[in-house]
Amino acid sequence: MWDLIFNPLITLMIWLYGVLGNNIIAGIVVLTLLIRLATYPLTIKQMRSARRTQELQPAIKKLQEKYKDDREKLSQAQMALYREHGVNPLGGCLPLLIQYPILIAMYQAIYYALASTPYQLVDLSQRLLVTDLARLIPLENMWLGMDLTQAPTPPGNPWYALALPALVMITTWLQFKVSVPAQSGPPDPNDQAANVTRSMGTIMPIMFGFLSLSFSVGLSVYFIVSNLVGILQYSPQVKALTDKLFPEKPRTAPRVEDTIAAMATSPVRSPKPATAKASSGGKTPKSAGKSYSKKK
Amino acid sequence: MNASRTHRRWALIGLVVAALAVATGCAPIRIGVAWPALAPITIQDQPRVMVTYNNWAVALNPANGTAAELLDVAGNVRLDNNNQPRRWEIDGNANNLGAQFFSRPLVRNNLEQTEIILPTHSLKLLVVDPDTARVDNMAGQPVAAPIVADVAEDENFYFVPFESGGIVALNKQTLLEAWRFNTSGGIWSAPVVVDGVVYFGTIDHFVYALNAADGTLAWPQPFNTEGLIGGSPLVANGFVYVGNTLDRLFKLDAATGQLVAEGRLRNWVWSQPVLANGVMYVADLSGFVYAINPDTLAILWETQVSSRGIRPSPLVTDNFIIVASRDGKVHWLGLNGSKVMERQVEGGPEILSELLYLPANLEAGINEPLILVATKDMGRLVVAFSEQTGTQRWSYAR
Repeated sequence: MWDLIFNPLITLMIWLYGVLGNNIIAGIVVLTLLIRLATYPLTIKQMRSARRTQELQPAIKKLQEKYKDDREKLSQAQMALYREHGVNPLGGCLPLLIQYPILIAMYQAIYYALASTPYQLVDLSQRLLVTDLARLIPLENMWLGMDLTQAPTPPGNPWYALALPALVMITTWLQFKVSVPAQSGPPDPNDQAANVTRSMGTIMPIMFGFLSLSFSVGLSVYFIVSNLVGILQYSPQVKALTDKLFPEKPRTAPRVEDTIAAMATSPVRSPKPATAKASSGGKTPKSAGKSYSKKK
Repeated sequence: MNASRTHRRWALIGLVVAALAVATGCAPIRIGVAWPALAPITIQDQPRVMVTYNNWAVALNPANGTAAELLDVAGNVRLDNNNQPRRWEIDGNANNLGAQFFSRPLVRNNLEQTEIILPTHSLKLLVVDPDTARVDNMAGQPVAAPIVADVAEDENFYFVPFESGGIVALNKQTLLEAWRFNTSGGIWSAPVVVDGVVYFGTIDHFVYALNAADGTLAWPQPFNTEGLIGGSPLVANGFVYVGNTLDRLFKLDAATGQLVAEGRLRNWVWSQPVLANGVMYVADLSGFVYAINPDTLAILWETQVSSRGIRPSPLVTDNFIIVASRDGKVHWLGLNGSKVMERQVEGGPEILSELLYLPANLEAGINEPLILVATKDMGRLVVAFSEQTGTQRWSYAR
């Protein structure tokens, strides 16, 4: 099954290598950009989900205060709130999970395309979807004195190749930083979502740094380029352009301020969809995009 | 306290998910250099089969597939400290030897003394005493680069091809370099020496012909096939036949390197063509076996025996064309291309090594001709089949 993903990617990478003047780094960079472009709708979804969750934080805090002695009711109220505002608390995770197969496929593509031993290269014969691309094989796998097929550790590569895992860690951390909306005030130790986010912020850079230490240098190049593109995607200019090009669908959800005001007086609302709909009836539709602009 | 526990729990879940993702996606990665090499060899006047793979070089008794026992001068089995028979085995990881083997051993008759030379992937040639299986000098004879293909020889020289490119001629007696020829691409298949000329192909697409005596070019220029050459050329009747990864088969004039004919197959050719009874046989990595007219390179017949590829050269016997495919199967074809029988090595391990034909030798306990197959699975490193019936006779596990 994996071959259905691997083989087109391997073929595309080798084709790009040929088109870009037999330059594998250029091939990896362009392929990374193409993958980022293809997964951009997911990225937008993830960004918007994070934004909406952030917008609901004041309301969540109010609920936590209100139901501090009843965790079950707190949970019900949170779910109702999320439903009312069209937020899926796991919505931000799904796009991340979809990145995994892509990451693995990219790893395999780099590995197979840069095959450097007879045993590895023999396997490429049934993976190339365009026969004539075989004339590009073997691909040049040296870059700045580094063997892209080897791990960045000596003796496979010179000591300075260790800079790549460090760059992977730094760019992963930076991407994480720019992708998580800034929190106002000190971190709340009881805020489960924030705890998870903080954990991921520590784990991800370390994990990817370690992966880069044991995998080929080519994959480190992919990680770094992918992270840099990710960082760019969160720049205000790109965000503004994204909102312009892919406007968010208007949602029929109440304003967060109204929700908070309603919470002060109302009992817990049932998480049933019918009730949630009823409670949103008569409220003015407001798009998250507008709400975000207002916040800014 | 509660928050910290939650934090740790999520960290653990994250790590498990990541580990699972990596394990599932990255497990099929092919890690390895090449495949085992099999070679018939005589040790202490006994016919043996040497298998060299990764860190092991082992001489097998072809009668039963066990590691050969070492004999002393009186012909008695040598015993180790535990009173167990000593076997002809060399562990490249032991005693700081640091050696990996993917090439066939060489036998050198030096001053009335026979020695075995093991080319390694670890920048050296090891000289081994065949009677004791001891390496004479742990440091070995240094060479410039890793060796992944078999070494060719004539009466004067060993021609050592390097994985990263270049070939050297070593004096057979001294193992000192006589000449060196640099190539930009690696040499992954054994050179062939015919009539004082060394022929070989490189992974950057060229076929070279060098004068064996001094390493100068025998052709005005190397021939560019435009595809990687993974198999040795066949030199016969004044022509050079070689396949490449652009699914092509070439016939060149052995004296000039001029193209005589070109044929098209279905997939990469990674093996040496075989000429028998006026017909050329070749297999490709889509699992097809072809019979080819050596004059025109026209296909006489073609038979697909497997959807997986065939890496080794076909082995042609009196009655059969025998090939092994990457799905761990050995196939017997009739000389007209009809399928006769097929045998599966247990577990279906990948077969990439050249097959070895052992004729019957009643004195040595080989009662019938055997086909030896080496696999990538250490649990079935070498498997012997009857050439006539296809019955498995023995299996050697490392």
